[in-house]
Amino acid sequence: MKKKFINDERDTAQRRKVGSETCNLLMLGLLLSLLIQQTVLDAPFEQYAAEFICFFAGSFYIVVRNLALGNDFITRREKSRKWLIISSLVGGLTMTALLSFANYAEYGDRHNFITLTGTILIFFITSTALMFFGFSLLYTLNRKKQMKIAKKLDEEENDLD
Amino acid sequence: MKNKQMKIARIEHDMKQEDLAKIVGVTRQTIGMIESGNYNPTLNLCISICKALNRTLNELFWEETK
Repeated sequence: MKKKFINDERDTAQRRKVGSETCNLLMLGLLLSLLIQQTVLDAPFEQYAAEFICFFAGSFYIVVRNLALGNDFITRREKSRKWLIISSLVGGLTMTALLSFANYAEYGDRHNFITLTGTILIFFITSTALMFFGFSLLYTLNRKKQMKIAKKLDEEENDLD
Repeated sequence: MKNKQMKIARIEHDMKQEDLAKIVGVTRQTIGMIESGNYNPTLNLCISICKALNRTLNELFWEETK
């Protein structure tokens, strides 16, 4: 007797959900592993290079796939420009904290108040500028894609053929 | 397959895709994809669309077989 192929949509949806949850947990685990090895254990880069590459390659893939599929993950927010500034500041502060911690652990004995404050300030300015540049690029690409989709939808909106 | 019934009902209600999207709580892109037959909506979304356009599920989503 020929075996009947069963395509259960509930089963498929739940498998996808489990896959998505696994991916989120894995990304969180990679990030925690990276941060702990870099800050607490003060490990050399070679030790956590695999986690570093996997985490950033995974993040890059998520962003690129969402952009390619036209999922509006920035401009849908009502105050998207405010989002750009807040994200840059939060990202810049996080990077500053990590870099300052690593710098102090390495050169703490050579720092006085003025050099330490100056170093932290330089880290903050460069990190925030870098984050702003990255997020602006993302914002612009997303906006262009959304405009392209909107133009296509405008053409088809009342077309009954 | 394109969903012309839904597009006609929307136009009859003098609604733009954006208006319908706002009422049912999805993006305009989703409405466009349903109308062009590129997205298979959930039953809940179908019901929301039917309520917004004052139509039955049969009228909007049933295809007569020839």
